[in-house]
Amino acid sequence: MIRARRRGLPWPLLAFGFAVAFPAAYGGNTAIMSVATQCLIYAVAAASLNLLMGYGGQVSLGHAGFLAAGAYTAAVVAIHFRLPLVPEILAAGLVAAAIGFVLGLPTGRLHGLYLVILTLGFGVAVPQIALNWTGLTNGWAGLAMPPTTLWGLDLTSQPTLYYCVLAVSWLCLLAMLSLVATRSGRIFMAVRDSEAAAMAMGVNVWRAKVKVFTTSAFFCGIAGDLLAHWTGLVAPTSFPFDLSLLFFSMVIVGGMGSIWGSLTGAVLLVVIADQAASVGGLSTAIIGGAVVLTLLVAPEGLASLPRVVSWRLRRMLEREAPGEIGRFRNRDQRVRKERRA
Amino acid sequence: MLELAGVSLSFVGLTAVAGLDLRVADGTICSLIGPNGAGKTSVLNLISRFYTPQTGQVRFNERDLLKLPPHRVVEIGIARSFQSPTLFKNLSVLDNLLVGAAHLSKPSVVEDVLRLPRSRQHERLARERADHALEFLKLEAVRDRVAGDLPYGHQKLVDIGRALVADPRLLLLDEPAAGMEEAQKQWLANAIMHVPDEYGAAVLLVDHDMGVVLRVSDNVIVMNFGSKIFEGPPGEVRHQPQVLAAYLGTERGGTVHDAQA
Ligand SMILES: Nc1ncnc2c1ncn2[C@@H]1O[C@H](COP(=O)(O)OP(=O)(O)O)[C@@H](O)[C@H]1O
Ligand SMILES: [Mg+2]
Repeated sequence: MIRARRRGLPWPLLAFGFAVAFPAAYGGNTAIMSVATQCLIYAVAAASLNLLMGYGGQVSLGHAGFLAAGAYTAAVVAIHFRLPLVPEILAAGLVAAAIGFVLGLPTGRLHGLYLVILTLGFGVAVPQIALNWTGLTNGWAGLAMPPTTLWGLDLTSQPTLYYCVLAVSWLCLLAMLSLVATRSGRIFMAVRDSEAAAMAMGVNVWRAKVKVFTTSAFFCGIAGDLLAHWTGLVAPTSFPFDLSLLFFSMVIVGGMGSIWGSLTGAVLLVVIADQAASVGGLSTAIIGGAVVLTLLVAPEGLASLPRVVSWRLRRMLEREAPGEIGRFRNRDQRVRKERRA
Repeated sequence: MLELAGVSLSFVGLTAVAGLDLRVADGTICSLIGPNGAGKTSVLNLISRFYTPQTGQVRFNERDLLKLPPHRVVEIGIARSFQSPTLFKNLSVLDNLLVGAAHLSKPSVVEDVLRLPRSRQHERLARERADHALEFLKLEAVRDRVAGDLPYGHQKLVDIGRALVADPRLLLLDEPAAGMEEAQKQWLANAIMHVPDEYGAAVLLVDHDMGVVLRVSDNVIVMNFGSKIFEGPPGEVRHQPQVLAAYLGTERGGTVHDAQA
């Protein structure tokens, strides 16, 4: 949950370089390119959920619903209006955002468990609506994405799709990073940490909560658009409750309140799920295990590991932290040790 | 500037504030003192609209405060600190202070994502004000520390700094010196004395520490059981028998200074 100024290696830049160079090694292998594309799409979805949970202090167990909204919008827009890719992506984001706005309205009064139930119900309802609204969604059979081109490139082929998804997803991650480093993001976090203090500083708490829901849904809708291009088919069965749970797990494993952590969590869990896919139920078990392990070993997620490790190392090297405040902490620990002895 | 007239506040079966009249003039420091449970914090909560009085009026620069929701109070120029520091505990000290500037301009989410001019302007202004508050309260060394990890005294300072960043005309402070060592208290009293010049804000100070109160105040109001029992300049307070009685619970002689000891 901590936003410390990073020193050391520019990890995001290295990761981007790696992602750009990746197809040079595996570009010919469509199976691997497909998983890599999935990692990026799920990273946007997980990061959008993180915006809501880690930064906004809200909960959602129904984010697959926003993903579905975005994916269906993409398919409908592509089939009926033949919009170019960029307006189509924005449309997917905006439709999901509109739904997120409505879903966010009751957050002024709903807290904790009630919000879990509300979002859970939403996530479960969306595939049902898609199943029954056959005029728009073609029901059970789903909608096939028409072949899309961008600047004459065929988006259904790899690694073209991968690069397109890489560009969009990276822009989304950077947008979310920009958001959390400015006033809007600080207000989300302020409301998360203390509603009373936020209110005293002029924050309309309810509006901030609705805003974080809307923004989160917007980015998840964009992930849904990318997903539609990746799968080529948008059907009710593509958005089960498990998917919402998977995004939730990615946020926990990667670290609440860390956008890059969500990318890490998404890559890790997508790869695990892919590797374990041949054995039924195994991937679910491993992912569940990963969540439990994270909560036990590094409750703040993978993103916190470098900081935690360096802190431990420093404590081993220095007997007493410098400065008045450091002494405070050590004194407390000494007292605790003496008591135990 | 600030004016409370006949304000009463009761909780179920308990009167916290009973018919209180209170005025704070522009650019002055007014202290509100009284024993625990006298209703001091309740008065601040009334002014910041966390509580609504059953009777009475609260006006600020001729505006009816009671018509405003709590989040609009800072917009008209009243910022506060809390008795137990209520920080954004996972944010850095700097970020806590920056939130103080949240109401000064309001770029939208889209403007913030794209860092459009209004967003950059806000960040620049917020940073300037935060840097000034860091310097004013000598918090530079802990600027990047996580606020929730700081010792109590530092958290109280950050709480005050956040309110100062909000550019108030009236600053409400709830026991800022509580839990501080004597030297720190003296330093803080000095800082509070400079708030009117440095920030152009009047101060309504609630504190227990008589040394601090008598040193910084232009006007002192003593409360007990929700009512005002004395009001006057600091020089007169310590000799008032009813004040001593309230503090000591007896009619024993002496001054308020003894009561503190
Ligand atoms: N939210 C509340 N609900 C019920 N009683 C309260 C509440 N806030 C304050 N009180 C009561 O009002 C009285 C005055 O409290 P307070 O204003 O905190 O006093 P002080 O700050 O002078 O110590 C106390 O008896 C306290 O228990
Ligand atoms: Mg109090």
